[in-house]
Amino acid sequence: MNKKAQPALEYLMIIAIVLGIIVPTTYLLFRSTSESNVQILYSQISQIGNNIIDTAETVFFSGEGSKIVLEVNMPKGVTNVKILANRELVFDIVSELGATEAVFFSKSTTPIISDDPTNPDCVVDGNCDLSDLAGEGLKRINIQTIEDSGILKVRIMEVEG
Amino acid sequence: MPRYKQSLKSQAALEFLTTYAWAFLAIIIALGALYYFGVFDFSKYLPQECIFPQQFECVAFSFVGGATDEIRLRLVNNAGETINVKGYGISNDLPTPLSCILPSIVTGWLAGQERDFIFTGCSGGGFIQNERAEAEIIITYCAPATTGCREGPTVDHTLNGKIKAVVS
Repeated sequence: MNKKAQPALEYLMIIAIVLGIIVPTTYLLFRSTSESNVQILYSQISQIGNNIIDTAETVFFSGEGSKIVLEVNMPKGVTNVKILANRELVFDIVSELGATEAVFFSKSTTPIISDDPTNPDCVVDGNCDLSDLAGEGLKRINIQTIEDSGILKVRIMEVEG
Repeated sequence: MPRYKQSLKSQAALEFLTTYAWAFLAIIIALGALYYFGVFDFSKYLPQECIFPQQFECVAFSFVGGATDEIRLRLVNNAGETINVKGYGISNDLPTPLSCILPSIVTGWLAGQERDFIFTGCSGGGFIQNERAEAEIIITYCAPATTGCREGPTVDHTLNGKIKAVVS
């Protein structure tokens, strides 16, 4: 009996020590990974937002009819995209840290709109819906200079397919 | 069974138990010493972090305990636009959340400029000296160049950030 009890006890002690190492290490790694994911998400959205605004300014100064199609890989966590006052491109983000907004400003001389046909505000005060861009996955974004009531504007819209 | 054989067996069993008891005692004392010196305080192995979106990068931060009980952070305006800060909020997930005296509002925060934000008189939310604490900070802002910024909240935006640090 003595000979059976000793290895059983030693086995239990080894299991306890191994678990004592693995559990805190897993906890530390999990915490560190979730925070890195948020920073990667912010970085990806920053890159996408700056890319859209830079492209909008490029096509605006190229004149009416000029167009560039961007392909972006929208990360998980973007719940809505909208344009405010013809110049603010706003991404609503939900991450492990909660909800926040990432805002990208176009120059006041470069008005931006979307193809939001349901909202008259989009033409009147420039508050346009761009929720087609929200959601994870590959998005093709058409950025084109159009003339609206004699004013050049840059229209941002998702292209299907 | 002869009496002397039984005696030998019980002696061996007692010696076995005594040896293990000493070993257990040594292990318990060692673990107690490690606990006393904070080896099992895993939170101190976690990095101190300040996470904000890249439009408002957090470049420095600290939790200061003692008389002032302050949370200090320095943000850079990377939005490429002059910003007016219209309000703040501070909290965390604990049952008695963190609360502080909020800093004053900022107008004309230029693009590329660094600004210090100091929340004073912090209490609750596990804000205890030499302990690790978390703070969720909300900043409401707008761009004065955008129509409606000065008139109301229609073009206001919310910036959420989180700081995890040890109160020094």
